[in-house]
Amino acid sequence: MRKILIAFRKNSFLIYSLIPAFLYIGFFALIIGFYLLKLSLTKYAGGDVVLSSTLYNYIKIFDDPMFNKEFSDAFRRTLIFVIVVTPLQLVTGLITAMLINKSFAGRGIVRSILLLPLAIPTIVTTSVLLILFSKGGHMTSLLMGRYSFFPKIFDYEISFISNPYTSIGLSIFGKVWRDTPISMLILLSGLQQINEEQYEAARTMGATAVQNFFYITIPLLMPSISSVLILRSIEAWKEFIFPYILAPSYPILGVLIEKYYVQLMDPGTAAMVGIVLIVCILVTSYVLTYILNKINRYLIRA
Amino acid sequence: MKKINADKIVWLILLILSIFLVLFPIYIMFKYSISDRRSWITGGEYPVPWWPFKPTLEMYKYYLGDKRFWSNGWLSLKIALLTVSFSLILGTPAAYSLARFKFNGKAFLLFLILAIRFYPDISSVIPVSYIFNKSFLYNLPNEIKISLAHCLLSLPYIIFIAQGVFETIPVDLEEQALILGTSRFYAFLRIVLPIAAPGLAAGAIYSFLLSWNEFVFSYFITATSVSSEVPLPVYLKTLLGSFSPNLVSISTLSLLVSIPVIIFTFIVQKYMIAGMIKGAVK
Amino acid sequence: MAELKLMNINKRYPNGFHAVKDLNIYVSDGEFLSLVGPSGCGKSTTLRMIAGLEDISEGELYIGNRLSNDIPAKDRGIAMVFQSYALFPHMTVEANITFGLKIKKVPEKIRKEKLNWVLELLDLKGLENRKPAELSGGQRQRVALGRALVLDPDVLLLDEPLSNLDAKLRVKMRTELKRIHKKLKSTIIYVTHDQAEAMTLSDRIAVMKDGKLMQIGTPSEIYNNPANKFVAGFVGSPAMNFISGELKLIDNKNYFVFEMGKIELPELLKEKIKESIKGKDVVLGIRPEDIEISFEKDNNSLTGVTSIRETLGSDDYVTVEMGNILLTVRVEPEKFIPMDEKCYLKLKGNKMHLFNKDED
Repeated sequence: MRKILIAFRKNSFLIYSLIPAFLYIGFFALIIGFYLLKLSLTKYAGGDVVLSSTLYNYIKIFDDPMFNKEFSDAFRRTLIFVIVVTPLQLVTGLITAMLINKSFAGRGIVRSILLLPLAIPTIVTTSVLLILFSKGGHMTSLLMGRYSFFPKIFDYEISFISNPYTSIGLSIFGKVWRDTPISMLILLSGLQQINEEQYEAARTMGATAVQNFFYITIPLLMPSISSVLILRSIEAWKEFIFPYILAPSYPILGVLIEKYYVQLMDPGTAAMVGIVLIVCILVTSYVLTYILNKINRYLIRA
Repeated sequence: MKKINADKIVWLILLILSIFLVLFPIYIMFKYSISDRRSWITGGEYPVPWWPFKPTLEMYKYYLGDKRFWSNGWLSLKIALLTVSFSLILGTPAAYSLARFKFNGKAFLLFLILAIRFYPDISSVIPVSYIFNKSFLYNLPNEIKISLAHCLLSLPYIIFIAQGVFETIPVDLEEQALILGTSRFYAFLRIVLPIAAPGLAAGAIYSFLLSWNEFVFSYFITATSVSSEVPLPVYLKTLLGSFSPNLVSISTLSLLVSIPVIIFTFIVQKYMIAGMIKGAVK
Repeated sequence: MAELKLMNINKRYPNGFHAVKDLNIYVSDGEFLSLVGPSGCGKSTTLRMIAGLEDISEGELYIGNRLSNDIPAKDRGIAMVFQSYALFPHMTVEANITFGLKIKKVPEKIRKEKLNWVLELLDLKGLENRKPAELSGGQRQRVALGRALVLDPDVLLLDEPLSNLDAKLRVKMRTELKRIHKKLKSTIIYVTHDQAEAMTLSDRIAVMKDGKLMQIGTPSEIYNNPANKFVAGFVGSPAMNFISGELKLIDNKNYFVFEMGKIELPELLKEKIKESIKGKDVVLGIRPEDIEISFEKDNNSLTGVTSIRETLGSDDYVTVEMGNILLTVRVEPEKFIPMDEKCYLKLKGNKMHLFNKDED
């Protein structure tokens, strides 16, 4: 007993410092998880509980043809969104990180500019894209050749928001535009840890810039690349605001949650979709970690 | 004449392209915000001009003279500052212990921090807003409720960044302080924190931006509130959702919401990058 | 000032690593004791246990007759200088030095006095208001030392304090440390991996390896009578020569026999021989300065070929090849020695050491 007391006093700082944050996060993590699970097992109709402890909401995916179509469409769009956004953010992040990893006059200003998308509220970004791509806006006019400097591509006015492909494309563009600075920062921190001498050593052995990139930069950057891919894929699955504003008629899973929860007052279905998303996130993170470990091992050996 | 370096040219082109892609939407926002009526309602007779026919600051005058804008902005600022304070107060001590001590269950705690990020915001907002609006917490002022919710989003970042920062500070310094007679808490407060401050600034900046920009939680928590004051992103959304949106009004408000954080970013970008790099050294 | 007693001290880490094994050391009041050994030998862990930065797994630690196992670091009456100096980067020299006094709530007037005393002692006058980043390596080292000294510690712990200095400064600080010790007569525990530093500074040296105490004694005891092959090889530079072979009794005389010849052993080693004869394989140790090189045949000498000469200024060393065995021999700098010549080596009888081969 005395030993425990001594151990406690010795570690009291550790205990006191950890408890508040983890109690807070832990409390909400558990409540959210429990609540979502419970809701997803409850059947609602017209905003009222009809049945509790039922798998109805899950079975509905397969049994109800209407919902089946809606859900699988949304799922397909989400999958496309994730598969395009994640690697695209890696590429844009890598390009911008490498651009500003050089020292040049005005680097501070360029860095600030490239960080701007992170600072600007998402809702602002969506509204600007909405304006830019709206009917009668700059983009449609541009593509119709109404500005003298740009060739005519379409005869008619395209409506970006109400076309299934362009609306999701626009959401992807918005998401990548906004989140590139985060990838850039993570990759930049990786780049800055690569010693310039390693490139010079490789150069003395006759390596070209391209070889340097593939044999030195990429392998040494693997930890940063991994965290970009994993973190960004999680965020891509979770995406809501861009498609909510830019592709309202072509919902992805995140938008579906809002539709069922707010508009159709069916929190059961909304929670079920949330659970499906969480499962997708867990599976993706696991699979990505596995693949990245494999790649990493291969790169080290090669 | 100097030899033209192909690498340099590619680099320059990409740099200009990146800068253009970032600045173009911001320019468009600015252009619309100062447009006169004829410059954005064209009736299809002519394309929208790249610069308004008759630039006007009408909308700026309207918003800057509008009490609602100021009270919403003040609410947004309070929420962001509270979020930064809450997450620093909760996050830094935890991050410090995670960086310094080895103990059983550390991996589990780290997983727990990450786990909260697995929930889609749009899902977790349902129980979170329920807790804040349907429990005894209901009577808390909106800024406290929203900033506590934002804390859930920013704490994982703060903890991860701060943990990295603390790991770069030599243990020797604290051990020396302990030998010289301080308590652990004093050593943390007076030795470690001052040295860690520039790195922690990065965490604070991210929390601030996150809170200032956050929409989903702010929207749901204020939805059932009696108060008419809403954070700026929610205010902007009410304009977007209106039947025939006034583009000048939207872009003016968009720009007004963004300008503080744009300026802020220019001032603190050095810390953002330094903090990220420290946070990543592990 | 106080004495220090380590009784059966053990350190086991949670992962099972046994870092310090049954350590018994007594340090008398005012003594300068060095802990030396290769990295990972447990010397730093021992120091950190004395400081109170690591728990003692088993055993008892007495600082000035007080059982100190469970006393927190700040109440042990110790002060410590870290290898990295651990100067607080955000505080001035003055704030750094008086930090401990301030924590102990020493009145301002006494603080000032002590500060001035230390600044004087360590030749730091005029640097009070600088930040550590604005100091040279040597100055930082002295500030770290000053910060420890103002506390009048019973025991002063130094963890490789000179290892971050360049060679020239290191030698200078060595003298400085010696001067301060002479003046203050404090009990000092000094951890280093540099045996030359330990030899020049200490009253006594404790040599450690793999968590065990190999030998403890005055520098000359350690140098002249190393307890085992490890101590013999660790102390002295260039290192002692070792030749593996076995003992044989020929005509009632003890001989050391190895592949390239044999050597008659002196009476002095009789006791050692009796002990070692059981395990036949032994190692003969001889320091470079205890070998004489000549080009005329002599009885009881070894034959080899001179190969390389290295000059260290005050001394020269010649490497002599005997088959696969290389021996380092000290020669006078002015003496001419032809290279690649057959030569004869005479080992000073009273300076030969015999070690058991199995024990290190």
